[in-house]
Amino acid sequence: MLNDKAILVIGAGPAGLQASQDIAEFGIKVVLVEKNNELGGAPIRWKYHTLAPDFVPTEKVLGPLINYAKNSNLITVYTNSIVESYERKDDHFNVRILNLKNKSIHYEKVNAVIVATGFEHFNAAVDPRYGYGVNPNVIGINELEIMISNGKILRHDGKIPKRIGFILCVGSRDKATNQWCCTVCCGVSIKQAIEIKKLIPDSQIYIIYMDIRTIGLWEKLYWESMEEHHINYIRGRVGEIYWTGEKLLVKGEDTLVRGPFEALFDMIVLAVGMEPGEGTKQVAKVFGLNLNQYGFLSPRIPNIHYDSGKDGIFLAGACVAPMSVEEAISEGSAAALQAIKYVMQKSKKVP
Amino acid sequence: MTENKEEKKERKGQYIIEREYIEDERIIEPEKLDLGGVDASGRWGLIILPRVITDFDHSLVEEVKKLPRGKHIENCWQCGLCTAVCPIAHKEPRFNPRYFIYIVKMGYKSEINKLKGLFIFAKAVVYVLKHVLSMLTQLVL
Amino acid sequence: MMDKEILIDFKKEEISITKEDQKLFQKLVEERRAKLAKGTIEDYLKMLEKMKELEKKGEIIIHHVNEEYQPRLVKTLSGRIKKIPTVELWQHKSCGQCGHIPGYISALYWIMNELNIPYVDDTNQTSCTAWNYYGSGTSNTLAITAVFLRNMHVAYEKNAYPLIHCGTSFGDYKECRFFVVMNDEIRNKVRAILKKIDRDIVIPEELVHYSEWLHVMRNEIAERKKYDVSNIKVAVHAACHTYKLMSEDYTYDDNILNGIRPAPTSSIVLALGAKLVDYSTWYDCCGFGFRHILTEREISRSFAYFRKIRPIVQETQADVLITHDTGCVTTLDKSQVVPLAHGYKETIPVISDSQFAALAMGAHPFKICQLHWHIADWRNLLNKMGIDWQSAYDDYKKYIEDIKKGAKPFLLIPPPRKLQPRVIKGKSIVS
Repeated sequence: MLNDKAILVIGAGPAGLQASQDIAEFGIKVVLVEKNNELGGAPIRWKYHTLAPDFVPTEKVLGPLINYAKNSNLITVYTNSIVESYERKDDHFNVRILNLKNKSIHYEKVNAVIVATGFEHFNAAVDPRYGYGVNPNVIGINELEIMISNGKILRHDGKIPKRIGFILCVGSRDKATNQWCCTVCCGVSIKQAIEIKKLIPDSQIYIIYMDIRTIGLWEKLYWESMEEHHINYIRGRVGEIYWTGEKLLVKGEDTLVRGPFEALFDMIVLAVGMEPGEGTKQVAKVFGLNLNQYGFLSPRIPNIHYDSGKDGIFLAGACVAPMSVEEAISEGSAAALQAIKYVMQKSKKVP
Repeated sequence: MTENKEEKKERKGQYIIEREYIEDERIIEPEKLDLGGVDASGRWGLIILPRVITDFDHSLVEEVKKLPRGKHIENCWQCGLCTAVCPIAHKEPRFNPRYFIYIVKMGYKSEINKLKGLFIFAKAVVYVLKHVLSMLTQLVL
Repeated sequence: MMDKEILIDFKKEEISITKEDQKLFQKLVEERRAKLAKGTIEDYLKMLEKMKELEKKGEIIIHHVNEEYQPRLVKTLSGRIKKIPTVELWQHKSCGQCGHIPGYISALYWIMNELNIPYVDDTNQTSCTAWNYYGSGTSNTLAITAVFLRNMHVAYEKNAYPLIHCGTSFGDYKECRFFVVMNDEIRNKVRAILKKIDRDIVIPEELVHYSEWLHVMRNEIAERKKYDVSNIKVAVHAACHTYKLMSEDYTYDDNILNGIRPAPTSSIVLALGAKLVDYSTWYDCCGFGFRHILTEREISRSFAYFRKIRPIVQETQADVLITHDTGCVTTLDKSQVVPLAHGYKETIPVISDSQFAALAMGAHPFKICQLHWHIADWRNLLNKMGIDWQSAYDDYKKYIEDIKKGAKPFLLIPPPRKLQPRVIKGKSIVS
């Protein structure tokens, strides 16, 4: 009875991959459409080395999901593709999939849709305070993750940095740029600070913060960073970063001392937050989904993420609100179950 | 002579409108200053030094960590509970244990130097040893 | 709000405030707070729309930048196109410049003479009074706005477009124009004041600072330069009241400093071929702060030296610091003398962009650029530029001696005008 059914999953990040695996294990076909060349979403695109808070290697969590999606008979994977348009019929959708590389078009018939298009990192060049893109050695946490994966943290001139600063809340909690909190940046930055300290033991690392929001069980990262790895915390904000030709002059205020500081750093890492990406906006346009005032997909009731308010379309993951990898995986499962229930109810043709 | 002594008692730079926000050490009021023949002593030659913190010096906190139980300074994440319960802090506003731990951990030499000569440390240590520790142990147990 | 009278103990003097006075005080505080919140880019563009509306209704006259002023176009922060008139200018002078740095404007007049630009050097101009007062916060908004509009009316009668020399005036006028256009009550009251002196409300379409004029004319100035300045390192300081106050209304150019910082003074330095250097406190105020230099002069003096002069000299070893505002030149120049007497070593000559351009074009350093009014040592700069200041100084001394004996002083006469003053019916031009 379910052999001829299929569910469309847009986005192959943690949420989309978990959803695809759950649906395929249940026995329903999956059409998995991914805009980029690789499956795995942000953790694979930005080569996350380990996941907070327990330093689990990324492959251990995402590897099985990606392998399942690649090897399963029931999952049809379209990479480098987007969903261009859809047509709603009585009991199914006809979707038109465009391959961005070779411009080929495919049609698929599906019975439900799960939108898991994820997020993009904030482009810090938009915020002129830090000189991102202009000053050398100012990088984002996404670029730092690639350096940690390669095992080498180097400045632009090839030298190893001695004094590194992390600036939290870049592109988040800010009326001028993005107004929401990205929930995971604090924990991720502290995790990265610990990893840098392990790679460069004689470095001095300073985290310049407004608040420390290590959520739930991630709190232990905060204490471990201070007690075992001697990472320093400056409570304050940074107003300007100036490149002296050799080092970065960071100007800010230390609110615990109630005074200004201007100190030289070798490298600055900006904790760039999550924001809704182009993929989310494009899918919202195609399917007529509501966006809230922040640009994230808006579920019908704010606390119930999977319910988009449109019949047969379900939401999961960071396209609805910023969240961690473990939360996205759970949301993928939840949306998968809702989609399966929907397909089964419709196939019984309950009046 | 007595007139001079009375003049000196007046705080230097008292005529500055925002005088309360400036620490005494930062004001340099010259007794005698000559600008190529023009007398600029006193108010006309007064300059105020900047108060920007420019460097971190972690040698002090390394010394503290070598003391018995000194490693525990790393546990401090500036919650402020120590100052909240400190009876001396409520009486003497410059005695702020959270602040002292912070400037030692961060190595703000300029701030540490401002505290030199404050004899309230000696009085406070005695007070703490006598009263607070016994109170705290009673609360915890 | 308390029901009873409250008593305040100010050093044992008891001041009683009645309930009515409390309400009035509260009302004044709310008013000031509301006025201070204006001035962002969106509000500024709304003001420009409202100006056009008011002109259509006939309530105000707008002094347009017509073709006869030969305007050139520049861009502002929001991308709006601003028209800068280049000829037939009404020189709105600065009290601080005429009083403390006369070389500042005589250099500008000399440049205009060299380029054959007709202008009006009117004796019938009042000071904007902004040095002691300030449009939005601390004093009588009506008085300042009335002074502003009076000057604009005089310029309109003479049929010359006002060119504002001082950054302080420029900032003050931007705010006053905002109030007059957006607030009906202020406009009506100011109109009543102006009627008493037979004038009416004339608002200029664009408020133009002289540094923007130098910016659009920089290529013509560079063509006429006589001395090679390519070995001169120049640090630039931009005045707060030109680009931080009402930040929408100043020139930005995508080709100069990538459009991140305001274009004017940096552009003329680059056009003359000098080396432009950057330092860590570029965005810092000079310490002048309108009347701050009079009431808090110790802080102004220390701030200017430790936040600006010292970093500039230590980081860049520049030969000269160039600014475009009266207060900045005064503060940065005159604040150096006390710290030098204390024993600090860093010093740098501070001159305006008009003086620098005039020197490069070959103006007399003392008759025109009046460098002897500046305190910080400029001799190294002139030597590096190749100007023989010693013989110019002897020449100037002789010139002063001749005047004492009765010779006529050298005056800067503007080129003849092409435009005629407007016909005035009776006394007021608004019927």
